[in-house]
Amino acid sequence: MKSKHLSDHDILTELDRDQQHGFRQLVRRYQEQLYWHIRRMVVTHADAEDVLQETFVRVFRGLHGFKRDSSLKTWLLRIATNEALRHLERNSGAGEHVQLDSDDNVVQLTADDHFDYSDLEAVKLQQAIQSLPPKQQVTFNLRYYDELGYDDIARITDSTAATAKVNYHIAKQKIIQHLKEH
Amino acid sequence: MNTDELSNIGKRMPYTVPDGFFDSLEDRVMSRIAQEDPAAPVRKRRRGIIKAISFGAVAAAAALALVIMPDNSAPQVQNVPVQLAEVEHAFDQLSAHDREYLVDNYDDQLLAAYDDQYGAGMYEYYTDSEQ
Repeated sequence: MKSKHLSDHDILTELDRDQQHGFRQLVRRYQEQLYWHIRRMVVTHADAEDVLQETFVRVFRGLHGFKRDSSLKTWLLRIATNEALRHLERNSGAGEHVQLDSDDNVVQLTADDHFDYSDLEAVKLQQAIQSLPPKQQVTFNLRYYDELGYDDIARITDSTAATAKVNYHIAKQKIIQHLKEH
Repeated sequence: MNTDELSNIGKRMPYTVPDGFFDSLEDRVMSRIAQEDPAAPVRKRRRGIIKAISFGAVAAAAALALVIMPDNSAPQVQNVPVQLAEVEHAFDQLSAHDREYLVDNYDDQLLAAYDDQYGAGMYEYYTDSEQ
């Protein structure tokens, strides 16, 4: 069975049986989803790869602390989110602490070799998302792209489902407004 | 642009990745973990040491039995490999979490003393035998 189709239960069982092999399955299963989640936050490919690898290192070190009554995907996305925020904090220039609750957006859409400028609508949408405060950005991305429920989003962003729902709708309205103005 | 136009964009993104990026990512991740997580080989080595100490304890007990009961010593000496196998079997039956807990919490001083007394040969044997 290909790792992309393995369930969390299959991966956790394999981790118990053979940690190295189980971890490889985990990486194969979640690498793309985590990469794109991180990429939407940090924008450039090089940064996304760096943060993704750091995320997997932390996941490997933290495997024994994972409480199996929660979703593996949610746990991984939470670590990836925190790692991306840590990266943004390190690269903010002023050494400021980037928190989900911050009102400031840190990343501007920066050019690199892995950016397709020909799709102007997609570029504008990413610009609109990047204009949001971090918590609204993460909430919007997790709902819009990953189609997560508000309960899972709340676990990842350390909030409540109701707050996640409100944040998503505010973010969406701001994005629509930004798209109208640009 | 309105909500419908947001729907029209859908999940399209302007981001791309190099060809074959995801195909080789798994190996790069494992390589980085090997570089950045020295704890992994240490745990493995400590597991070998614990098995070696267990073997030593079993062998010492058998030797003591030889001295105390010379008439019955031969069968007990012959049992040593079986007892070692039992130790190994018991260790392997533990859950991954319990093994790590045992390895992580085994008395450091005991392991250090074992290091000083016996060197690396014995537990390298055990470590290699696990691969």
